[in-house]
Amino acid sequence: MPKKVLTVDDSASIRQMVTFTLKSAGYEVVEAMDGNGGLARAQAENFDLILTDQNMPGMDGLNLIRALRKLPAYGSTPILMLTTESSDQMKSLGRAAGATGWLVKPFDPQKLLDVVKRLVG
Amino acid sequence: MLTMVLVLAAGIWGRLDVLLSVLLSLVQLAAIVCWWLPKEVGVSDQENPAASSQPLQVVPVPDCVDFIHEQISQSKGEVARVQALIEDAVVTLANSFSGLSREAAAQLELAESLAKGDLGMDAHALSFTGFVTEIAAAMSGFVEKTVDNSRLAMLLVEQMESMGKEMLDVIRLLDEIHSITNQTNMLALNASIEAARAGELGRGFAVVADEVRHLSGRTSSFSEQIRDLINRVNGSVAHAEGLINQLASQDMIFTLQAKQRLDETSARIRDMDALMAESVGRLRHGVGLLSDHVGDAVRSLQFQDMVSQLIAHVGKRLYGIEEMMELNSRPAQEQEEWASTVAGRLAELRQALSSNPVAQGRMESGSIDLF
Repeated sequence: MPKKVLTVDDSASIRQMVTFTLKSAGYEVVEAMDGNGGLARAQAENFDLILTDQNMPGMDGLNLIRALRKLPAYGSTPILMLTTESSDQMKSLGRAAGATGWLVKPFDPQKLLDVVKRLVG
Repeated sequence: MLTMVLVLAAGIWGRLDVLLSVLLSLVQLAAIVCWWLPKEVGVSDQENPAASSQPLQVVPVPDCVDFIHEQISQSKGEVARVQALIEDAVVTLANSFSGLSREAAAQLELAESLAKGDLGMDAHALSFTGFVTEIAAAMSGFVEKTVDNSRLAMLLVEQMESMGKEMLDVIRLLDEIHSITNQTNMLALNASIEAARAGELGRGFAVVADEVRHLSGRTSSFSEQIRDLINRVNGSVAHAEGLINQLASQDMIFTLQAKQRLDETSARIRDMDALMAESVGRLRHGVGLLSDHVGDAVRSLQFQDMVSQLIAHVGKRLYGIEEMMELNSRPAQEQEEWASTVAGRLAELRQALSSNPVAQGRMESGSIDLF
């Protein structure tokens, strides 16, 4: 059974490229357009890994991670931030919120796959 | 598909180029007006008293402010449209690249299936090479059996030759029998003559002599019949020997020719197989390169998200300028309130605009930190 990944980003092209990269490697990918949509999808079904952008309308990535970490099902699920934000201050905030890792855009498809494989197999 | 990709890329660059020029002009114009505005509303120039006695404005400032308001307002819509256009184009480009990648992977899979001869029709299906190998093995077995048969046929021919020689020996013996029969007949004849000469006393002997001559005649007759039979058998054996010879040589010629043709065909098929394997290898290498290129494209196409965020940030800066223009253009009687409002709002805007969401200046792969 393929591992399920949720990608949350307000950019359709980023969602599309994450989906293409992961689907090509056999993962099942579900998309959400913002933090609130991502949280709703995560509550509706279980995911093995979540990738989220930081700057999104409504709920941003950090708040999404904080909300997810409060859910019992996502206490230890890998959650990666995939964002243009690259400052050490933001990374510290991400770590404190419960992010598993911080990936700065643009992502290299192979490197993204390597990280995902490492975390969920 | 590639043409479409190039056209889309050119279109995106054209839009961005125009947008950046417009934004730059607006910022320059706003800066100029902000510099002029205090003079228009009568604020004295502390550093250059001489200048305050000589009005500097050559263009009515309220008109400029209106113009900037109007342009910034229109720019909002244009920025939104450019963002939508870029996103639409990039989504299409990403679709094209992922389509190219999928098609290339499907073609490689098909080529590999063709090379292996396994098109998924039958799990036990033999490859073409396997089929030829099977046929070649069967033909080798057939040739071996045919050679064995030919060897046995040659032995049979030798046996028949030996049988023919032995038949000749039998005929020679029959000649001997014929000679003995003649001598016996002659002897019986002489005995009959001698018996006649002896008269009554030789009558019994004459009967024996006649019987001997009669037996001799029958022996001679049997001997001739046996000779005829042996001659016919000899002829049949010679005919069979010829047929077996013909059969053995025909089998060998046909089989050896068939084997030679099959060997040549197998060699050609092996060459074809090698060529196909080489082609599939080159195709696999090409697909690998294409995959790398698609990876580069996927990474580069993320410029849309980054540019979109940058444009949005530049838009926020313009809105900040617009707001400051608005505050600056208020009537003089509100100057006191204006000073505190502007100071507070300036601090807020500086804070909000201080951090740019996109620090990258190039499209190289971003960093990865696992906590």
